[in-house]
Amino acid sequence: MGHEKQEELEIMLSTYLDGELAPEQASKFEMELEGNPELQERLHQMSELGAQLKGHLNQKAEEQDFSAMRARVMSEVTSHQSAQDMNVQDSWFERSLESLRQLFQQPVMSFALGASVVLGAWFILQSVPAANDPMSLATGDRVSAELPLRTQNVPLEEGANEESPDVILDEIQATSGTLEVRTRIDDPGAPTVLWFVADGDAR
Amino acid sequence: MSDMKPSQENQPGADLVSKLKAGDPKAYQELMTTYERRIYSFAYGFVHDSDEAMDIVQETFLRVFRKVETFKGDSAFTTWLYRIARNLCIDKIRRKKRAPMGEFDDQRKHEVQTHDKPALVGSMDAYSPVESTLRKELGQELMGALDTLGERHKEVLLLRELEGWSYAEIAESMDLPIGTVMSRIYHARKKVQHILGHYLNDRSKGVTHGT
Repeated sequence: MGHEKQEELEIMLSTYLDGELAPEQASKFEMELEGNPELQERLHQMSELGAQLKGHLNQKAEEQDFSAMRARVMSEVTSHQSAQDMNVQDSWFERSLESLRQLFQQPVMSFALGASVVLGAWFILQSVPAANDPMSLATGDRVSAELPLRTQNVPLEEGANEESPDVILDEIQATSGTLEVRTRIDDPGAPTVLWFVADGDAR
Repeated sequence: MSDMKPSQENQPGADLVSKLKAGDPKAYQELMTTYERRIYSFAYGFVHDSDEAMDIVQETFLRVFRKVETFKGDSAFTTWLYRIARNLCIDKIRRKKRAPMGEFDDQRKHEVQTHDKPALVGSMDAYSPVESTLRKELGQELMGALDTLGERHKEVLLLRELEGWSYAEIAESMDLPIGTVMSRIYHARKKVQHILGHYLNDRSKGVTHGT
């Protein structure tokens, strides 16, 4: 058998062993194989070689303990996962801030925010009593409390009397009774006027 | 060729690949359980060193984790996975070749002493002492014969014999014509057969080596 023919047969042998010959070629090769004991032996050896190689390498793998390798890989996977979760939380917070920022960049919302801030500040100032002022009154307030008698030296203006609506006080320190403070109906911008003191004095 | 979808066994589904991309720890557990031994065998066939083979297995899975976002599904996932492992193996071999010979010899000596002991587990128990010794010797001879092959021939032989990939699958993985794959497998087998000829002939005649 010539060298080329021999090599061609062996290539076919290898390809046949791998099941990669076309059906027609495989049939033709099987006919050749049938009458060629040497070729049969080569086929057997080639097959045996593959089986031994696979068996040896798989056996090596079976002897190994992969737990440490797995732990190292999982350590990186889980640490990255934790970092990713943190990033998700951070990005949620950042997205929320960004949404708010964009919302208040609109003129209407910006005006509403400003108005809310001013109103809120006004309400807070209204609700907090002035320091060292036990009875800070706003126009129209009604106060009812049991207090010690006497106001402090608040002189009446000359020519006025206690019934006069023209008694204008800058300050009153009530120590007893019920005070009623009003603005004048015809002039809401006028200073606060003490109209009536019951169960006590305004002086 | 790139449109081919190889049909290797245990091909992970798109679902698993999606979970891997999402960084799902359970998906990585599943991937490792399925492939760790197979990648190890493949790597050991390349580097013939247990520690290095284990390093390659670990680095393969870590690279999957780090690079899975770049996997577009143009090829089968297994093809991509083995391509990573193959590149790591070739890198190890090249580094080993660059290392001083004394270091390499020490590594091999250590390997033979610590890792090439007869296997005491599984199927080896089923063989007689003589048969076990023969198999051990043959295994060592096989590894020696594999070491004489170039990287390309070694890879095609391992993918064919170990993984049972078809020529088309190997061709796709290595970006080669099928005829080249066929030729390389044949030449790799021929060389290994030539080196192990005496063992194979003796086995045919029922002769055993060893003690």
